[in-house]
Amino acid sequence: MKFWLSISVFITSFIEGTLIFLPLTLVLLVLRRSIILAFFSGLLLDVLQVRPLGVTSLFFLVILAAITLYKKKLSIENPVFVSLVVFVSSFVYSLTFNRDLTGSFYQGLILTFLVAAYFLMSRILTKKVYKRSL
Amino acid sequence: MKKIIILLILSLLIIFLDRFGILSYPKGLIERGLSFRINFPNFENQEVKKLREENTKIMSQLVDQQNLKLENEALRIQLNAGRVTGEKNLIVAKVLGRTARAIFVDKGEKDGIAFGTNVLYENILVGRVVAVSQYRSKVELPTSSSSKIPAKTEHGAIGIVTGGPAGMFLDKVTLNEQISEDDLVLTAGNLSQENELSGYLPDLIIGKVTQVKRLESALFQQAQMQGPLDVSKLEFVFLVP
Repeated sequence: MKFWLSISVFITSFIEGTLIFLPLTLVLLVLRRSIILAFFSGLLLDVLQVRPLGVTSLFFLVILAAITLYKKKLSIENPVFVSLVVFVSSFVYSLTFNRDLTGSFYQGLILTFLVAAYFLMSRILTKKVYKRSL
Repeated sequence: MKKIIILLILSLLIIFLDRFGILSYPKGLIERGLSFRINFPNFENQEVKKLREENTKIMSQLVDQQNLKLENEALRIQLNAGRVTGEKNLIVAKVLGRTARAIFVDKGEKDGIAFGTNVLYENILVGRVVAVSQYRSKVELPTSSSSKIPAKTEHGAIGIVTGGPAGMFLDKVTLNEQISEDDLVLTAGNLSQENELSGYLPDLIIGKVTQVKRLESALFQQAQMQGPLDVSKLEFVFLVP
């Protein structure tokens, strides 16, 4: 599982660094909350996007630290909470590194929509599997 | 939480070390490594592996040949565009990646590239270098909302080209100036590095006007523009250090 997660994070980092400016790696990290991967994928993104080394790692780790702090107060598996975290974090991320208010807002919305679709799909699939097992 | 704090401190340390260039050697190695194709390990029998390696070698030779051909063609085009850059040396750079607002090229500080270096293709402005590392540079495209290029139309109207979600547009053109559809928009040119508007070579094509938005009550008129290049298909660009 960790191997596939690492591969996914590496691929999304590469896509993000060469094809599209959508913080896909950030979304994956918010969903999976892997601290080590946050650190290394941040470094990889810094190299690919010509940023000062360590800046993206720092950003990812701050987001994950905030999620860990709220873990005790809120259910982090709640789709509404995760969607909200994705929207806020991707908006701040894009705004920090791209300095485009409107673009960052739209990116946040697109990613929130994708995450909501992911939760919906996984719920439907889980229901189907459960029905089959009955 | 303890692990996060340790990694946070490590990140801060890396930022600090990178700021003073202490990590330039390993960073350069990674950058150079990422400029090439990444090969994943495979677990096939030796003969298949050998044949595959030979095949890959031939294919890479073909790709090299194709790249040389493209580079030659691009150089030939650029030679015709010499009037814009005058005596300045041009550096050919391969496009490594692209997003909606920027492209990444395989030339950096080691090749004499610095912040503000103009990037062109033929006589067309591709963008300007906004971030540079040893072997890599980020080029901001005119479609980026943070890009502001002093420009003029072929009929002499002066304004600023900037980007946004709807593409790029010519802004801050006074109402007494005449702009019409299909007008070519060129860089006004100001090479002194005084502010965010300076640092562009003169007379480079940015695009052409597709729609004019003129309101009598407004202070300025605006024009929607279209660039002549399809950035997603660019293989090589030229940098003017």
